[in-house]
Amino acid sequence: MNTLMRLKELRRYPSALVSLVIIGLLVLMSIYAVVRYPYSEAVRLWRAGEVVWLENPKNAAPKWINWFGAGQPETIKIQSEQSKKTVENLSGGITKTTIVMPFDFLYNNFPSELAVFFSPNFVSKPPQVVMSWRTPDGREIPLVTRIAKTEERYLLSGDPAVQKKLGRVPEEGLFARPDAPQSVLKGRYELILEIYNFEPNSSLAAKFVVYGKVHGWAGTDHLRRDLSIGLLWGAPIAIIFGFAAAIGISLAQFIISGIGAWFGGWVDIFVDRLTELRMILPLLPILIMVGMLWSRSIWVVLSVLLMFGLLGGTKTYRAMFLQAREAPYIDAARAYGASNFRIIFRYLLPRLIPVLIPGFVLAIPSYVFLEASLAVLGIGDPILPTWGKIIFDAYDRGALYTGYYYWLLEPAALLMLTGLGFSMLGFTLDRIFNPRLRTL
Amino acid sequence: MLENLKRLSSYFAVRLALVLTTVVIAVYLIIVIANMGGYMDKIRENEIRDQVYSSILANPELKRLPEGELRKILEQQIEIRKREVGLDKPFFQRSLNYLMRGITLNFGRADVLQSDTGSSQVRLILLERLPHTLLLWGIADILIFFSSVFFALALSRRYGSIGDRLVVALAPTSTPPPWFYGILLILVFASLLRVLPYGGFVDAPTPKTFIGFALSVIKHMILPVLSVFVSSIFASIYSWRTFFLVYSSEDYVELAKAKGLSPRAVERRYILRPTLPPIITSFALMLISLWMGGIITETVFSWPGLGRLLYQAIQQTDTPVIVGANVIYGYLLALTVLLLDFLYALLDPRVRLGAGKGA
Amino acid sequence: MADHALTNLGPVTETPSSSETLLKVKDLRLYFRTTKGVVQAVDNVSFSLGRRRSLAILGESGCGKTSLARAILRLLPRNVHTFSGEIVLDGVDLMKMNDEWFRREIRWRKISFVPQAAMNALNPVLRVGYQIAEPLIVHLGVSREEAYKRAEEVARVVGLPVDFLNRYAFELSGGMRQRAIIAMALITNPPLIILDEPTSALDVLTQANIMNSLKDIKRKFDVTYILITHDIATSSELADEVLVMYAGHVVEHSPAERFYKTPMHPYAQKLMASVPTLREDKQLEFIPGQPPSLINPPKGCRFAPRCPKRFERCAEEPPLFALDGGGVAKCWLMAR
Repeated sequence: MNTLMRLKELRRYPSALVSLVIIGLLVLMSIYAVVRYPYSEAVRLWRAGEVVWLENPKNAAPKWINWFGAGQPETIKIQSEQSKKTVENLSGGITKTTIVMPFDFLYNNFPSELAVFFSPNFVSKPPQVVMSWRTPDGREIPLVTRIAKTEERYLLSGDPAVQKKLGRVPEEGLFARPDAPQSVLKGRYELILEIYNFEPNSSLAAKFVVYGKVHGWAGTDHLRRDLSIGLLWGAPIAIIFGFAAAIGISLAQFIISGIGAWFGGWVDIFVDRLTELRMILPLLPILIMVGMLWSRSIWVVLSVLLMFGLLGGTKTYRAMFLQAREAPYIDAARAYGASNFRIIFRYLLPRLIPVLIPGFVLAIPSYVFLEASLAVLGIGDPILPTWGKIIFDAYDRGALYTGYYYWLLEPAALLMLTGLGFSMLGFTLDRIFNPRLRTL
Repeated sequence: MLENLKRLSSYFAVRLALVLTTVVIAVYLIIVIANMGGYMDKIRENEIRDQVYSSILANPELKRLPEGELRKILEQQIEIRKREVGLDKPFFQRSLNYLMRGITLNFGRADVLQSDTGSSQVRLILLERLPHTLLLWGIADILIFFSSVFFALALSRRYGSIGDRLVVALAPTSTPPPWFYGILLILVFASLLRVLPYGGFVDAPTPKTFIGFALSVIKHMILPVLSVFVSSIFASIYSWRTFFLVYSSEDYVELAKAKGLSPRAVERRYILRPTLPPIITSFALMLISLWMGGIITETVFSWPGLGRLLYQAIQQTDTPVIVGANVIYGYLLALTVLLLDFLYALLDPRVRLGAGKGA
Repeated sequence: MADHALTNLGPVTETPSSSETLLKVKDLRLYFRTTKGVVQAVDNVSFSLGRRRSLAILGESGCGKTSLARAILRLLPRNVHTFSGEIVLDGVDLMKMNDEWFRREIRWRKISFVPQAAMNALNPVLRVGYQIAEPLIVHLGVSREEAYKRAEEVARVVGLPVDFLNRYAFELSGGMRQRAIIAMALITNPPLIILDEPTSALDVLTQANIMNSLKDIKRKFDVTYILITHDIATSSELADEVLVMYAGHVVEHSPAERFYKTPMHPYAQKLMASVPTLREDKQLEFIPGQPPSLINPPKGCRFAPRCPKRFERCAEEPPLFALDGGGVAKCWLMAR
């Protein structure tokens, strides 16, 4: 058909090809997101709070900044089960297990946190742990003694006793060079645990986590969540929302403009009034009101948007339909007695569908940004991870002032890319399908 | 001439009446939506409570009564007042009542927020913020309009030139809303370069002289206006240059050239003037989306206008202010539509003289 | 200069002298660049036109007649490939002028233009009277009051009611609009007026009325028309000479009296045969086939493929042969 032929003209425009590549990448990203982290899984992970993410560093930058020589440490985790153990039997049924947890620390910067996860196993008498530290240059620093009563996360770097002893925060003090206290002493470190078990079958498993400052390809946020999940899932949500809203509203306005233009008279006046009503109703504030007073679910937002879009048509479409109405084949249809609805839906509207296409494509990014706007204001969907939500979190936590630029820039870049992709395509389609431009 | 003026004013009067009816309908819808959670009822009830409290507490005799008795009398009075006012009537009647109050922005007391003068009256809070929004967006809109027309006209003369192709290529940059660019601009100019302020209206402490004050405000306006400008300029230049191109190929333009009019005269009288009406319509739509985008932009720049007020109201869950803000935005949009309708009528005689319905 | 324009709107007392040449076109070429190739719209056209000898240019759509008019008026689009030749008006070669000189001295002073009665030739947002008076104000520096007075005079000449001058284009009917445009073309009293299908978009009655007005003007004033049309019948009302174009070439240029009775070129003959006549019982003919593409025009006579009288010689392009009784024709049959 004519439209298909003209779609092939797209090949002539480089911007259209670029945009198709971008859209293709986004679709692939969406597919990957949905496959790798199925919906319920993604929601669970994103809402889980600190429990699931406890072993991630907080507000870590993405790993690839190290390619530019940042020298930021990655997270190092050592398990007691895999470390060297020596068991001593002491008097009175007490066993002393010494676990040495070695690791190499070769980065230029200090870790962000140090924590030990204890999993004790006992009946009535909890085991006791004496922790000490050995630096690469052979210094041994005693740390603390703890009684492992429950399964817990002991934040070594937050322990005021250790801080007082070192005169500095532990995550720096334990790693600093004695001669140059601002630089890291690189080499092999050891965390030594001397576990005293007071019962024959009690034991203690420990996991030592040296939190880095980088994580994953996207970094982490203030809740230690891996941002890549949020960024990946933002894609299908943005595309689906944008698409659904754009197609629903564009189609509704198209049809309504057509009906108004065809019937003329009172119908036209009515549609005109509705259009004016839509122009005056402030969309964003109303969505805000709905979000605050009723529900923030993305489906509610979509429904309100669609209802909004049903209010009347557009002046451009109306002008086009008024012109198309005079076409002779329409007269012919009237002459053979076609009903009004048949004429509208079989003859009038289909002829002008090519003009609908660029409008619809161009509308997609505006709805993507609308959803992002709601999220940035803090009234986004509470469960779903969207790009706007990440920007909200970042902005709310002052990412601009604290220098966590990646937190803001990554979702912003993806939003921008999506916007550019669809709008470049839309503008090119406009050049192809806009009837008035063809005379140029 | 007088004839012209008469027709213009009758046209304007009709438009004003129509727009006002639409505004009333819009406010009604806003109120209905607001009352989905019963909030309009709550606002009214709070108002009554205030009135009853103050009237009872002003009565020295009643003040002397024991706590329990006082409370009983209070509740009794409140119930009576509620019935007087009609809070027990069916929804439709209540909604009309709220409509009357909504139109005059009477939303009672704010839950949390306060005006600069310490008042809790929602109307005052809203009206106080209005001028800041009008200042910022008024200037930004005027800037965008005139630059777009100027560049669009210039480009329409140079179809296919580098500038033309550049604008066409850059048109998609207008998809992100202004706040998006706002954040990026803050990052560059405030965070990294430290050349311009992060946001706000004026320096603290406030400059003492008028010139100092004005300059400081201008300094704070640079980034917000720039972010709005950048986010709209390319698409609007592209769209209007397309208008000009299309209208340049009209027959009357060719005849004007054949008549030997200078290119400047042809451009001004035969291309620009007839194309201004559709440009104004397109500008109206742009303005509407700018008002909406302005909400977050004001927030990002801490500009003390209606947008940021709305954001604060969201943060602190101050429902009366949110509903009131909706209504005032409705008025703003209606004003925009009316203003542009009026300009359109001035420029296009077909509308004034009633030939052919609608634009 | 202003006086010349104002005083010359009176009846002409001298008899027309056709010996004075007003326009001489020589080897005019106008080619356009398109995505499919170079269109040779006007290919080597030459003719001359005497003062007060109105010329009708006939031909089917796409033959190049409109492009010829544009070439003379220098109303060229962006995609011009070739524009060469000589256009001598009143002794001055227009092709040698730069655009600014052309605009100031020639446009509407020496040549004016009446476009097709498209609904669109008048600016919708300016008053009609202003548009008519505009050329006087711009070119001849006439004051507004004088210009408007002249506009009223000229409106009366064309039969346009004077109070319409204060109105806008959309308030006028098609016929009124066309009259306004004719008034506009007359107001500076140019010696040459080019009319491009001035009545084809109008109904028959209005057409007749306007033709009458044009005839009237022609009789009374010192003006030469070039009338471009595909409507052979109406052209006969105004034409003193006829020029027929086919596929970018001039194929015949003859005095009107001879042409309408006995056209010489086979194409012209076919054209006349396709026109219905009132009193004769004529079997209407049509010309089968299509004109050739102007992108790579075929060698030889361009009408040959459709010509019933073609012969071997036609494979070579014929020159313009002089005809007895005046005129020229581009056909080997005239080579006797």
